[in-house]
Amino acid sequence: MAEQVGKTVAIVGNPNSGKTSLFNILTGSNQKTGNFPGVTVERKTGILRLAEDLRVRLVDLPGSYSLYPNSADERIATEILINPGHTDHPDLIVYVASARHLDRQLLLLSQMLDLGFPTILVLSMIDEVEQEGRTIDTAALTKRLGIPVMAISSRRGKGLKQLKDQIGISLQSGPLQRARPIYELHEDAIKVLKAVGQVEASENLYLRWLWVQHFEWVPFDTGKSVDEWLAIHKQFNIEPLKEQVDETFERLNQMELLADAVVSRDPASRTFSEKIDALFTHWFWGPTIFAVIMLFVFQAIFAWATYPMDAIESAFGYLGSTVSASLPEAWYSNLITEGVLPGLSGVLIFIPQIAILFFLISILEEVGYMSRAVYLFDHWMQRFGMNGRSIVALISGGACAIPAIMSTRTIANWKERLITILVTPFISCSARIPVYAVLIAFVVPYERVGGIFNTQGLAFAGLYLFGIVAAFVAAYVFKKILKGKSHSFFVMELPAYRMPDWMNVWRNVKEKVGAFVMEAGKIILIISMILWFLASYGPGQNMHLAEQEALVEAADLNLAADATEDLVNAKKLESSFAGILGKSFEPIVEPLGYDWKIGIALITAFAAREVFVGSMATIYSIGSEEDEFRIREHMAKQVDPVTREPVFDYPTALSLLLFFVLAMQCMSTLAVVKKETNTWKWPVIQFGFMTVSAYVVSLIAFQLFS
Amino acid sequence: MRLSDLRIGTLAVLDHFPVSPLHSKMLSMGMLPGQQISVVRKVPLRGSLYVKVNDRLIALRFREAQNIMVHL
Repeated sequence: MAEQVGKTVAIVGNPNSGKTSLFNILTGSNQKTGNFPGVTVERKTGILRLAEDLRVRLVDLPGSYSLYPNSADERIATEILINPGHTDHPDLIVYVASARHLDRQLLLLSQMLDLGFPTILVLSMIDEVEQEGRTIDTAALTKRLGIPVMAISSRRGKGLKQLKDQIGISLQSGPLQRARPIYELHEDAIKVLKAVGQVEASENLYLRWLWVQHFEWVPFDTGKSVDEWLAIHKQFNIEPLKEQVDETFERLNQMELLADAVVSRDPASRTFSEKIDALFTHWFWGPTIFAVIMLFVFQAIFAWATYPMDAIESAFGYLGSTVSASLPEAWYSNLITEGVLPGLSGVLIFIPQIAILFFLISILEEVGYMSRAVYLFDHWMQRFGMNGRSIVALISGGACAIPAIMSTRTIANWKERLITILVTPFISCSARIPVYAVLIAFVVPYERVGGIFNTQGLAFAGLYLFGIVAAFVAAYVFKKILKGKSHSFFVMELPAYRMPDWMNVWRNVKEKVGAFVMEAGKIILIISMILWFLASYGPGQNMHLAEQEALVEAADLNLAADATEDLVNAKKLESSFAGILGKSFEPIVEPLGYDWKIGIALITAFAAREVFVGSMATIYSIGSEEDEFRIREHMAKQVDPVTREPVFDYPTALSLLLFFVLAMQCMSTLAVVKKETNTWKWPVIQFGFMTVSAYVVSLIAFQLFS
Repeated sequence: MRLSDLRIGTLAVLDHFPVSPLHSKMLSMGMLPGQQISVVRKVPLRGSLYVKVNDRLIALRFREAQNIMVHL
């Protein structure tokens, strides 16, 4: 089949216009998500098959209201549209507008038309409008705008075939020819353009005018330097903001007249959304409902994720024993069974929890609830230097900080975004759960409280709460320390409540899980192999001597074969590189109540927290059967060689738990923070303040209680 | 009067707002002088405002509402 992907079609429209649903349904599985070069704005492209041998590239431009951008997202969209040299500069625009609020969404469309793009206007969510008994006269719209207009319903697949046909036709028909622009440049503007020297007949005046106004940040060559542009601005006394406002006014007036003529309005009744919002955004019930929803979300994660997690665990157990049985006794077999497989399982085990959390968050986003939460909590978050949208990141942090930090891209203000990125890892993520589960029994004995609760469950909740408090305290401190434009603005549309588009939910879950696997997966796998090396090899004859010693000791004690092997492994580990590292670490962790064995486990946990449990299993020579309860049993039996006191007493376990709540023990997150902030400065600072606060808090806890 | 002083449920008309990036954004979202506006709900303690402009629902900050002038 011939690949003809020469032409580019861009999907353009306001946020919440149904753009993404249309993009998903047009491209199906033929899509890629990446970043625009140099910025962290999501770039979605896909292949659209128009006919057997005709394919075009489809780009989903970030949702925008106008060509006068107010956020990084909008800026990218604007840049692509006004830079004919950009790889994503479209040959055709599919402009998506929600049929619900057509009149408000025509501003950007009018700008597209004045730029001369061949354009198809797509009215999405047409079924919802029709259900309300309203109509839109698409024929009249076509006539007035001079472009094809089609009504579709992405959910029901209505009108998609016609849209594809129209895309094919419109691609053939060259640039848009309109008698006169919707917005006529005023005389002064023309004068400026003449002075700039770009008023040949073939040039698009409006495009040049946008260049004049956006010269400061357009990254492409406009033929003039910034200084030259500045001189022109000064000479003609151009006030970009005023120009913008004037232009916007004029366009909105024209478009409103047009919309009034084609849309039948419903009487100003309280809509369904407003009725729901009377409760959901109520000053008291709103936050209460939010708390209940969050409780349900996290309850669901724990309840539902257990089954797939157990399945993954036993699958890897089986795989490990099969592989080790079929491979010869050699270093590479050990690398596979003790380095690669545990690493892989350590990555996969978290997918169920992450997938479930993002499934639920996506549903909340899709139905329109998340914007209500943003509205409710914005002013609280602002007191801590964050933004209403930070709440989405903080909740996501309950699964994994990596996709959570990536989701901060929607926060336009840099300082608010940065603070959100810095404090999100304080929220207890899924990797901390296994650690909490092992240690909590040493701190609180199991007892029923008030019928439905138990002491350990409450302690668990307490650790989560402690992480949340830490995040807000840190945010407050950063708000005071960091400089930067504190005045940000926040004007957000509250979309109508609607049923989720399941395709969008599915794509979103896939994307988030993908981000986790790609970003964290690599690092966890590599670290897991390094750990295997450090634990399996030692300097010189160390390991060999340790083995001999252990065998002698085992013979003296008359140990069975199993116990002998355990003892050998433990002794070997002690003399391995990891053991030496742990011992050299002991003076640092001793004040916190940890011995060198915990030291080793802690070092390994700096790669990824959950590794702690596996390391404990190795150190206490429990072998490959990694069972939480067995590990706990072994840990309980450990006694200090000198004092004969148990190692895991109350103060030590408490100090360890607090350390895990606060410490920055995730290299993958640091790598993502570096990516998102474009410098090592922030991940280094983040690592520093989190780990120092963990050390101090654990130190105080241990010294107080021991 | 200022939008922030408008009582919940009272219908007013958007009057004017100073030229600033915030307001160019509001304009681009279709909030025009002359349009009817009402405050549907407020988050207490100078929290965000939930307003309705024509039939569109919009959330904005208290500080922003202080700069938006309306008349009854």
